[in-house]
Amino acid sequence: MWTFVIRRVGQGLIVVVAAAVVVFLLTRAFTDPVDFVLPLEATEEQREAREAELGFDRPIIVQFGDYVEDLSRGDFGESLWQPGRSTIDIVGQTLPKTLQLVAAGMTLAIALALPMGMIAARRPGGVLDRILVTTSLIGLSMPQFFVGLLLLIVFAVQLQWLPVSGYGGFSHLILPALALALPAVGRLTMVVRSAMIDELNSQYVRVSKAKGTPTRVIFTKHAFRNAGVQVLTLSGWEITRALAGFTVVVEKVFAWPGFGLFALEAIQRRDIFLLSTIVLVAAILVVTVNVIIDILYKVIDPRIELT
Amino acid sequence: MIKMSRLVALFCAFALITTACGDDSSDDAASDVSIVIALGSEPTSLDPHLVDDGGERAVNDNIYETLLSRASNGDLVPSLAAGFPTRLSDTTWQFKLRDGVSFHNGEAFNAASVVASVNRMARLIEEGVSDLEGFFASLSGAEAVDDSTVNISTAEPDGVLPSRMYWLKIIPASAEASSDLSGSVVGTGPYKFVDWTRGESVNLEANTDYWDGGAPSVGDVKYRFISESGSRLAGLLSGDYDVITNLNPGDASSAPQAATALGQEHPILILDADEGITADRNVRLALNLAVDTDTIADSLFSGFASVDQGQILSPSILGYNEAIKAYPYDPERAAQLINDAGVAGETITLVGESSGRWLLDAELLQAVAGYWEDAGLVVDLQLPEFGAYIGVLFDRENRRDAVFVSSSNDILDADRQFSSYYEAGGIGSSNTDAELADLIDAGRREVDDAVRAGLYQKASQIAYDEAYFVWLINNEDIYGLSARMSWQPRADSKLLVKEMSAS
Repeated sequence: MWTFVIRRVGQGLIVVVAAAVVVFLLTRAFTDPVDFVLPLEATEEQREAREAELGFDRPIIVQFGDYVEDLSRGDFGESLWQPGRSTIDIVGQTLPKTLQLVAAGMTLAIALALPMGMIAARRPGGVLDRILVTTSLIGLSMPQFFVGLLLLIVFAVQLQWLPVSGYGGFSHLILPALALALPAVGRLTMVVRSAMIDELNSQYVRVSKAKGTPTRVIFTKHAFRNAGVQVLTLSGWEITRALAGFTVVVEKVFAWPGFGLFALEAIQRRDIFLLSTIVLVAAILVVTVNVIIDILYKVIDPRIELT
Repeated sequence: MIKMSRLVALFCAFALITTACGDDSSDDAASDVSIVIALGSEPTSLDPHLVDDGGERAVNDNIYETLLSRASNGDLVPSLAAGFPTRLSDTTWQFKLRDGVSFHNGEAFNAASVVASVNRMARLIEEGVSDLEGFFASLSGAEAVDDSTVNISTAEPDGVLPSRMYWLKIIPASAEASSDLSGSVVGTGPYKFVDWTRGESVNLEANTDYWDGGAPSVGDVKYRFISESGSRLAGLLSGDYDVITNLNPGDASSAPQAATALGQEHPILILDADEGITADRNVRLALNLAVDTDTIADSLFSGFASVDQGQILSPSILGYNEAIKAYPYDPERAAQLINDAGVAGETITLVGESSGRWLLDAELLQAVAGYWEDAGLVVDLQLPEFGAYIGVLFDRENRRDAVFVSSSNDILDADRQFSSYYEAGGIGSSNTDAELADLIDAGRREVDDAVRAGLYQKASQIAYDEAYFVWLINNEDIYGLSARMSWQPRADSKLLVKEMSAS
């Protein structure tokens, strides 16, 4: 177990370092933020002065050396877009908001998808199953921005039950969380359903049915436990995906000042320092979630060998 | 992202039919009125001397004031100065200051505040941390004559100085040494800073002791930052917001109210007057005659643009030449000129950009390319990403036949646009006309407004006669207002809440 954890963390570190290097090289090689940041009519001298101030006039390898040295001292650099602010401060301020959104959205998704999938699996082909499958297919095939706008127009513009966008109290969280959850509900429901159908058709379930075990116990204790591994895999994928920036669409539509929205702003404003920090932190998060999911496999199904 | 906002507009048209979209519930006392303004971008800093940033200005223009300001039509008027400056010499201007004005922290506004503002700006420029260098690098110093008189000097004679004083926000003398004023936002204006929660909102409250007429009619102001234009529109329709910026032309009919003003944005095409097929004046003339700017303004920009009258300046700017009229749309004559010049079927390069930095810029160039093709040319339309485009625009060695630029004029003074694109050797200019360059140089040094206007009018006339550019349109700024708001936007695009009222 512990050798496994250490090995996975080691592999994760390689991924994180690789992501940091790639982003550093790509942003330095293909963009010149100075042109973008300065006013259009800035003179050549002003451009050169700003490049020198930011250190872009030095060879890229020297810049990378400095970057690594600064990182080793915990200095993530200053934002180009918000002068005077450390990029790690900006991440520290926006990441909790994304985590809040992802936590709410994923809790909602799992809370909806588990009962829906299990209900659908009880009588495959039945009326309830057909309704749930159709709903899930609609949910998972709708583009996220469309879901977001639809929710926004119905609940904020027309009914005016909830605030339209921005960050604030609990009421501000409901629509973006729902927009994040709905496509995931569709995907998860389908997986829970098919995994449960497989389990319910298996030999051991039939035997225990014949022995007179109550349906409720078969469902929750036997079948679901075995279906859990597949559900966990997909849930982990959903969470990783959300953390890796896929919340950006929802954050943009609802003006939710999270990690994804700031990543987008960093790209649009050519803030390569902020972008580098965001990618680094996102890579660490994704690796962490993956390691946790791997460990949970073992908890759910002790037969799984962690290698 | 245009698609999204279209979608919202569509849904809202539907929503309007089924329910009342706008909220016209009325509030009670005027001073209790609070409004919410949705901006497209958050201020990057609230220090008025550091950044050149629309989000910062939208907020700080209500907190800080300047020696001179502008009437809503763009004319300079005194603000913290008691009157217009007097010229002591070609390089020194004397400002008499208004009495009885104090900062929100109780500190008195006086000559020391102006000296502190000029000095701090100079220091930040010297340290290389201010984006406002282009506006203030010409200032050489300020000196208090007495408590309410200050002399401001420039290194060279500088006709732009009054406009610069419309741009330099005045800080309290005690703030001079600060390196970042974002945490202590103190001005003399009609609104006081309350708080700024990054990523969420900025809150202001009315300054009940405001020197110019006491408390403004709107009490509290909340700014929200909503980058997606469809979401801004949705918030306007739901009644969450009272004012939204940068409404898409196509969405204007969905908003409860759309308010517009002719802005300072002028997309033009810079033609290479020295080499290639555009070296022939008749070809440059044909490129103007071939483009139907009326249709572009009416269709592509849904009527929220006016046709440029053969010059880069808006009517609100000193030096605007009323005698110059747009070249007519005359496709036959254009084709004839192209033919006579012997360049029919030849290729002309037209360079723009593809990041969508300017409203509908790629679509605009595609339309122009179509018109030029109709006149008998083959158009090589290039739309690289922004960085590569900037490289082309400022490439002094190799000027392309036609390069797009959409130049804005923040301080409403002609010099910046003229010296950048009209004057030979300017960073984006494509001509070597010595007479034109002399006029622009003289205009920059001229300190008498009437003489200066005459120089610029002549410069515009020469550029027009020589057809050094293809002038297209002048964009309107479009704002969405909730049903209870009443406000007329300004020529200088400033969002001054003291000019707004809400029922």
